[in-house]
Amino acid sequence: MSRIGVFVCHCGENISRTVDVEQVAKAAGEIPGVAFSCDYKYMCSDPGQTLLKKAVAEHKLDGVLVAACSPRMHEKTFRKAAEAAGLNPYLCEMANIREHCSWVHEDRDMATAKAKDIVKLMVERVRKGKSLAPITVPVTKRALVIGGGIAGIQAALDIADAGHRVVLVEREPSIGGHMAQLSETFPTLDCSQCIMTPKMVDVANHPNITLFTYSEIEKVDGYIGNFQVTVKHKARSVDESKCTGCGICMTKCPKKKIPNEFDQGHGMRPAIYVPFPQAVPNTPVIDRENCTMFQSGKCGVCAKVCGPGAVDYEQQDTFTVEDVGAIVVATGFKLYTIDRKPEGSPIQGYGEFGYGTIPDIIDGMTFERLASASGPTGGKILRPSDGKEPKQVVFIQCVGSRAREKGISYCSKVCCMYTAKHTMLYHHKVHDGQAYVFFMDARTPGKGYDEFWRRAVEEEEAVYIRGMVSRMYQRGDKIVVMGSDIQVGVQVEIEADLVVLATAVQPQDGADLLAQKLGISYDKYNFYSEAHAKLKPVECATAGIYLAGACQGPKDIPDTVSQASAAAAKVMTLFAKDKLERDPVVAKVNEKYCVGCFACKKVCAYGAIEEKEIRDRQGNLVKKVAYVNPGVCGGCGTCQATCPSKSIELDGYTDEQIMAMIEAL
Amino acid sequence: MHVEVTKHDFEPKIVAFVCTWCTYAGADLAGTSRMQYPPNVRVLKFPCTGRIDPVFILRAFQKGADGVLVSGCHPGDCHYMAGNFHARRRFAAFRALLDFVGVDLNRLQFSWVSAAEGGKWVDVVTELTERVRTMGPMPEFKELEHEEQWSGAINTPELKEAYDSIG
Amino acid sequence: MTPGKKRLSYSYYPGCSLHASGREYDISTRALFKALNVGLKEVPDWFCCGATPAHNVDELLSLSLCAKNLSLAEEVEGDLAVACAACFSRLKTTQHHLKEDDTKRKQVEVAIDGPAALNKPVKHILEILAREFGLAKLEESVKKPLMGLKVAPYYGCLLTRPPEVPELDDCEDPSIMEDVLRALGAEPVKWSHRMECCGANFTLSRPGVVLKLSNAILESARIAGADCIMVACPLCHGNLDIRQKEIKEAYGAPDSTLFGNIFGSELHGGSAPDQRDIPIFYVTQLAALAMGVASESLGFESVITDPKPLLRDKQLL
Repeated sequence: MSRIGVFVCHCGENISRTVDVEQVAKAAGEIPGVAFSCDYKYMCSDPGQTLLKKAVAEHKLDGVLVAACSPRMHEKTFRKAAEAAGLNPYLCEMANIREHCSWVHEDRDMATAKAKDIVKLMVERVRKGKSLAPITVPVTKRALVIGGGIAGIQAALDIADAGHRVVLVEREPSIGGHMAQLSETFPTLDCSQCIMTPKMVDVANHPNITLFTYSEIEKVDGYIGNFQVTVKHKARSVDESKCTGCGICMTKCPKKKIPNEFDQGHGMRPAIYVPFPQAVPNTPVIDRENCTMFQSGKCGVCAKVCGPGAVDYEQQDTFTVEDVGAIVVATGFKLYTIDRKPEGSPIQGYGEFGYGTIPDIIDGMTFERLASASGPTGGKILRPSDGKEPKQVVFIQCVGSRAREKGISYCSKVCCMYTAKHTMLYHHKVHDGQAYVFFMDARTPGKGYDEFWRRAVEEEEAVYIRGMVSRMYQRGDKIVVMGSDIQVGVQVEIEADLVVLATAVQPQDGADLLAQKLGISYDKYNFYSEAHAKLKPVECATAGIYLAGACQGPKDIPDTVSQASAAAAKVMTLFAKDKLERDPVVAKVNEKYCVGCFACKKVCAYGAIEEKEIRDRQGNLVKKVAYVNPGVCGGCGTCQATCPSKSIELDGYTDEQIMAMIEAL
Repeated sequence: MHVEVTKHDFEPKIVAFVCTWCTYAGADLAGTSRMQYPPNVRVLKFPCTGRIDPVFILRAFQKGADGVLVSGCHPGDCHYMAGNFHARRRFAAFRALLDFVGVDLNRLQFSWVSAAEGGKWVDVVTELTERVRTMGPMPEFKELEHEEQWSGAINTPELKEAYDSIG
Repeated sequence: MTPGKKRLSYSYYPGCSLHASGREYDISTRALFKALNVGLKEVPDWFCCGATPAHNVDELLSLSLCAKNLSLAEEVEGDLAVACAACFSRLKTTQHHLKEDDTKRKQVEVAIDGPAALNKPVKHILEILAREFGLAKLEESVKKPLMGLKVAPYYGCLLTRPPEVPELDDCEDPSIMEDVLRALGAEPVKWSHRMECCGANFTLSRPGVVLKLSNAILESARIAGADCIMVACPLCHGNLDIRQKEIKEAYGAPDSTLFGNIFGSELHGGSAPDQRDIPIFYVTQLAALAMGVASESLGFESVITDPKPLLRDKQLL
C-alpha cells in the first residue's frame, strides 16, 4: 500500500475563490493509499514547502501530489522540495487546479467536483510513478548565434568575452542588420553607424568568434549541451581566403544599376557588391541573378581585374556541421508592406493607400536611408518620384500595427519614437518644411523617451493630429491625405509631398521554418515564444535555445541589447558546468519481449534507436532487439504507441500510469 | 468574460488527451487569460500526441467518457519534430475503425491547439461538450465492461456456431 | 450557374428606386439582358429592402425585410440579379449577418415566418456581365464599340464594402468596372474618387454634405479628363446627376471648390474652373448602347444632365 501525501493550495484566493479546497483535501484523504492530506494558503511559499517536507518525514510518505497551479509553473519547485525531504523528485507530481479549473470555471460546485477528479487522477499517476535518476550529459562549450544584427552581435561578443567559442551565422553578405541601416537613434540622436560599426569590427577581430556570413541554418540535431547544426554556406562566388577587399571588382562591374537592398531599393549597386561600405566582412558577393556572367556566360570582368584571383564563378554551396552546446536565436524583424497580399494571407494590404503604388509613399526604413549621410541622397531629404525636396511631409503611425482588421493586433512599440525622431531629422534638414503626424496614441515608455517626444511636438514644430488616415491618392504631383482629427472632431485633408508610413514590425520571412528546424514554438504572427512571459523572457521552452531581440517581439535597440546580454548570460550559466543533468523522461526497451521489428526505429525522429545484438555465451546471435540511446532520446513516446509488442516504455508516462489514470475517470 | 451558469440535465464526461508543449500550454493560457468554458473536461497530459495509444481512447470510453478530445501541436510545430504527424496518421486509421464499429465520430475530436491559442482551446472544448451534451450519454462501451469477460470457453450456442463456421 | 450551353437565366430584384427615380436603370437592365439573350424574371411581390434608413433604425427590421425578399426570390429559378448597389449591399449583408449569428437568424425566421434563404446566390449586374456572361463574350457581343468615350468608373461606397460581404472585387482597389468598360470599347480613366461616398444617406437630412462630397467626385472626374461617369447605383446617380446644377451654383466660383486651394491655381493656371457637364450613365445604359440597343429605349430623356450631346459628339447616337 502506498503512502501518498496530497497538498491542496489556495493560491491566495486564486484557487479557493471558486474551489472549496478543504473539501478537495478531505476527499483526497479518503482515496485509498493517501496517507496524508491538507490544504494551505501558499504551497509554493517557504512555509508551504516546509510543510511538505515535514509531512514527508512525519508520515513516511512515498509519493507527493501538490494540487495547485500548472506544473509548467511550479513542478520544479515542488520536486526540489520533495528531493530535499529525501524523496525521489519524480515521485512528486502536480494537479493543475488553477489554470485548468478555478480560473476557467465560475460554478463553485462544479469546479470543486472537477478539482476532486483531477486530484483523483493524479493520485493514480503518483501511485504508479517510479523513481528516476537524472541523466548526465557533457556540455559542448561552444555557442551558436543565429543572426548578425545588433542582438546577435551583442550576444556573440558577450559570450566570446567570457572565454567561450561562438559561431555567428548571418544570412546576408554582411553583419549589421537593420541597425546599420538607421541614420540616427532615439532618444539621443547619435549616429547609428558610429556606434554600430565598431562592434561589427570587434566581431570580425574576436579570436573566439567564427563568423559565417551569407550562410543559413540547414538542419539542427541534438539537444541542450549537444547540438549538431548543419550550416549552409551559400556560394559567394568570391574566395574569402583570397579576397583582400580592395573593391576594384565593384568599380569595374559593367552592371551598376541594380537597386540596392541596403538602401531599400533607392540606391544602386553593381552585380558584385558589398551591401554597404562598412560591411563586415568586406568581401564582395556576386548576385548571380543579376550578373551577366551567370546569366549569359559572357563578361568575366571582375575575375580579370581581381589581382589575387579571388573571383570564382564555379563556387558551390558548401555545408559544415557545427557542434555547439547552446543556441541564441536573434533573427530580427522585417517591416510590413502595404502591398496587395497573396490570396489566403491572414494579413491584409492597404488598398486605401493604393497598395504601395504611389512612389512618394515610403516606409520608415526608407526615410532612415534618405536621412542617412551614407544613404542614396547623401543625407538630403529628397522624395523618390522626382528628387524634389518635400515641403509638406505626412507621417502616419500604426500602419498595420494595432489594426485587427488588417490581421495584426499588436503594437510595434518603436514607431512612436522613431516617427518623433523622423520629424526632428526632417525639421533639421528642411527648415521651411512642415511635418504632420497622424497618431492613435503616443506611447513613450523608456528612459528619456517622453522628453524626446515632447521636444518633437513642442520645440521642433511637428503637428500631431490624433486620428487615422482613411485614404490617400495621387493628384498631380501631390498626395492627398484624407484623415480625421478626433480631438477636434473634424475631417482633415493635407496635400503632402511625401508620406512616411510607420509600418508594423513583423518577424523575418522564414521565421516559422527556422523555428521548425530548431523545434521552438512561435505565435500566430511567427514571433518566437519565450518560456514564460515574465520570468523566462529569454529562454525557449526548448532547453538550450535562447532568444534575443525582435524575433521574439517588437523591440527598440536598448531592449534588444539588454535581452541579447541576458541570453548570453544564460549561455554562460549553462557553460559554467562541465556536465548537465537532463530530464530522465526517455524510452527504455524490455529486451525480453522485443521481437526486433524496429517499427520504433522508423518513427523515431531523433535517431535514438539502435539495433542491439543479443548473443549467448558462445557468441551465437540469439536475437536482435531495439536499444534506446538515452542521451539522444527526446522523450516523445511515439515509439511506445507504435510498438506492437508493447516492449518499449517511456519513463514517466508508462502505460501502467496512464491506464491507472483512465481507470480513475 | 462572464458566462451564465446554467444547470443541465446531462453533464457529459469529456476526456482530453493533450500534449504538454502546445495544447496543455494553450489550456494554461486560457486559464491565465481567465476565459470560461464548461467544467466537463478532464485533461490527461502526454509529452506528445505521438505517445497516445488508441487503446487509451477506447479505455476512456469504457470508463465512462462520453466524448474524447485529442489535441496537440499544429502540423510542423511538433516539439519532437514529427510526433504529431505519426499521431495524425494513426488516428486517421483509428477513426475509420471506430466508424466501422459504429461509434458516432462526433464523440471523438482531433484538433491542433498551440500554446498561443487559449481561445481556440476554449472553443474546441465548449463545442465538443455542447455537441456531446445534445447526443446524450454513451453507454455502449460501458456496458461492454460490465459483461462477463470471455474466458475462452465456448459456452454459448452463438459462440459455438461462430467457432464451427471458422473450422 | 451551370456551365455549358444552357442559357443564362436570373431571378431579378429591381428595388424601389428602379421603379421610381432610377427607372432608366431598370429599363436599360431589361433591354441589355434581352440583347444578350440572358433570362431575367422579376421576383413576384417583392418589396423594399430597407436601404438606406432601416438598418440605422432597427437592425432586426432591416434584416427581416431582406430575408423576406430573399425567400420570395427563392421561388424564382436562377441566381438573384440585383442592379441597385444599395439593395445588393443590404441583401448580401443580411445573408452574411444571419450566417454568422444563429440567434439573429432564429429571430428573423420567426419574423418572416419561414426559413431565411441564406444560400440563394445574390449577384450584382456587374458580376453577371464580367464573370458569368464573361468579358470575352461581352466583347464579342459588342455591335457599337464605345470608341473614344472616356469614362470615369464610379464604384461608390457600397459596391465593394465592407470587406468579405459583397464578394464582388477587391474592397479598396477593384477593377471590375474598368474591365467591363474596356470590353465595351470605352476608355476607363484613372481617377482618385472612384471609391468615395456621394453622401446618399444624407440626401434629405443634410444636403450640404451631399453637395460637398458629390462636387469632389465631379471635380475629380473633370480633372482626370473624363467625359462622363459610370455608376451602378441609383442613389449615386441621383446625387451626381440631379444635383449637378445645384453643385455648380454652390461651388462654381474659383477657389471655393473643395480642391480650389490645392489645385485651382496650379493646374488651371488661375483660369476659371472647369465647369463641363458630366453626364452620368448606368453601367447597363452604356452596355446596352454598345450592344446596339436603340437609345430611345434606354431612358436618356429622363435624366437631368443631358447625355445626348456627348453621345452625338462621339458618334454613338
